[in-house]
Amino acid sequence: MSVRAHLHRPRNWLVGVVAGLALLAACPLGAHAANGAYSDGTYGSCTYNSCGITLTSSGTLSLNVVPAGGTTCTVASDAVAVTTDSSTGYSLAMNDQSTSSSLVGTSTTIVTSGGTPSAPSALTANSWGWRVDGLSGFGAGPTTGSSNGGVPSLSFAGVPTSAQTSATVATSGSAADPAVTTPAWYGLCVTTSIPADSYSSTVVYTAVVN
Amino acid sequence: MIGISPSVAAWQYQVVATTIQSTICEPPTAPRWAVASAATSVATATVRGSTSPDTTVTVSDNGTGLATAVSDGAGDFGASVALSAGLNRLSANATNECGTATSAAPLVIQLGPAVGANPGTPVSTPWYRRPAAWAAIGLGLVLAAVAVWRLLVAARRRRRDGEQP
Repeated sequence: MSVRAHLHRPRNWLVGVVAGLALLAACPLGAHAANGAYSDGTYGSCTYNSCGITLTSSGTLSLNVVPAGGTTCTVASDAVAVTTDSSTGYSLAMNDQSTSSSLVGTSTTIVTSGGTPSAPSALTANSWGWRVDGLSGFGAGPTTGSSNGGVPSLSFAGVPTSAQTSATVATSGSAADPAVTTPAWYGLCVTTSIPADSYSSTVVYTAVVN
Repeated sequence: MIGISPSVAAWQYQVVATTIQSTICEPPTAPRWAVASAATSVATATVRGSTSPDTTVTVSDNGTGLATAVSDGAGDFGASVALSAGLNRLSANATNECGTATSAAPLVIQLGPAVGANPGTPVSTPWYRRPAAWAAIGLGLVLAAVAVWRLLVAARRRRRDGEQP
């Protein structure tokens, strides 16, 4: 019994080392939770710490509306810029920061569109949504900004909540250096039934190297 | 962080946020002047009017901005403006975050010669240029002369009556 145990120990240790090396080779971009698990070396198309990614957005987007008889809409764009030297490109996705994707006011909320990127729909009264020209089912556009106009002829999708699957905003299979900017358009349509107030919601973009 | 697998290294993703802000409101009401017209001999006048509360008001003369004021909680505003000689046709633009409204009618101010009038007082002609004033003066003089004449006649009559036996 004691002899067997003595013999098994070095074997288990060896098996562990071999398995670890195999795992590292199979998952070059890492199955590790923390940056600290990496060290100098090549991971897929990147060497350690070389495939950085930079993401910027406008920070604040104004969709002010002055309702006037019927449905009044405002459309504006958020410039989302990605920079990465990853030769395999990147993926850019978005969600609402909260578990509700409504524009929240003091006493009233404005719901997000019922459309999806694959099946977007025209904005209806008292709703807001987003679109990216040429993406999924949105159509080519081009979308143009407008203030206090009529209902846009283009279709929009609802912003997914933080609890829902994020919506893809852009994907690329190549490096983005210099930055590649994706205009994310947002539209809001309201009637005079919405009380005068300030409404807001926060959209979170996440860019990941492929 | 949304939609990021724990297996993704920290340098391989980035997250940013954009706040969507919407102000739904009404444009201010068109400013209304307290008076339709005025005359003054002072080149600087304070013009007054009303619009929506807490609204920025710009007073202009033929498109040239003269002054800016902010209406109070009741919507009243006052702005000190420098006037040009002659007729000044002032307009007021009220602006808030949702739009601009312009006064429907101008405020006409006549900047004329010094007559001691306060800014904003109605147009008035100097008394010496009013025929009615001279007529009144003339009438007063005549009445005074008649009164004096009658007093003199009465005094003379009393003297004459006293001399008779």
